[in-house]
Amino acid sequence: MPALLGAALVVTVLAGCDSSTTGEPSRDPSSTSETRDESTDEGPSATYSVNDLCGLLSEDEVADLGAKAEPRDGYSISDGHPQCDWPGEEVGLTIGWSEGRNTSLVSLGPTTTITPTTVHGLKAVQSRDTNTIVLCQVLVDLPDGMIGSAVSLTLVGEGKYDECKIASDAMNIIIPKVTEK
Amino acid sequence: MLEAIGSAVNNFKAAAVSGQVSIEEDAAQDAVNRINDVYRELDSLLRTGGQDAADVQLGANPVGQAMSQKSMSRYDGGDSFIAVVEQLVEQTRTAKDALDMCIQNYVDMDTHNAGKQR
Repeated sequence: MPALLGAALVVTVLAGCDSSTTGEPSRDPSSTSETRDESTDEGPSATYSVNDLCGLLSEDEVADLGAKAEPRDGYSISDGHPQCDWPGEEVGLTIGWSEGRNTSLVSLGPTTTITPTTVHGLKAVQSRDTNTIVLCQVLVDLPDGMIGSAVSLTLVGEGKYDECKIASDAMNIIIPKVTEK
Repeated sequence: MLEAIGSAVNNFKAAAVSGQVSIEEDAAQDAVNRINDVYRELDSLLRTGGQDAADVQLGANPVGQAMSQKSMSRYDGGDSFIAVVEQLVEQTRTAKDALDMCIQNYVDMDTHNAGKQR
């Protein structure tokens, strides 16, 4: 019996070494207690895989935001940052994580309006671009990078929703989940 | 190729505007659904591609900055992948408008003919 218990413990420990649980941030191995600078107490750094991002919103939460769809995980075709996309019938929603970046680096194009804001007390910006499609993003600063939502409407959803309200609502759901870890 | 598609779509819209083409709504539903599906995929490409795109960082010297600009231009410049997707979005939107006009033409024609029967 003790041998069985020991084997179960080993399996549990090994499972803990695998990739992070869906929706929870992966911990950077370089920031473990052995290597961390004890003079600062900022906690271990967090990073988000595509699986983590897809787990940040439940099926019901995505449906409430109007973007009911199977999530598609992947990476940005522009700069490779991890993303999870829900291409709904009326609303399209993408959640992305850019490690090492912050909202001060968000670029302002000729068709972009940037509005500083906060989400649960964290510094954030709302970016609304009207080039070809209307794309509204709410990007929030976290200690190790920037997490954000991007929302656009399909031909079926045009005129029925406010892209920026949905992007903001999504971040208001997500930020408590990532900061309470 | 894109020009040919654009030309065909524009011809279709011109025919719809002039009232030459009319389609019964139920018969057009399959085409409407297909156009909506295509638009949804293109919209997803622009949304995921446009989300918080970081500039390529290749050094703060003139050569690095020039290479960075060239790299970003290949991604979202005038002859880039994103530019092609944007053109397809515009053409899909035009096709949807034309189809809506064809459906409206049918409704107008049906109403007109019904009026003549009275």
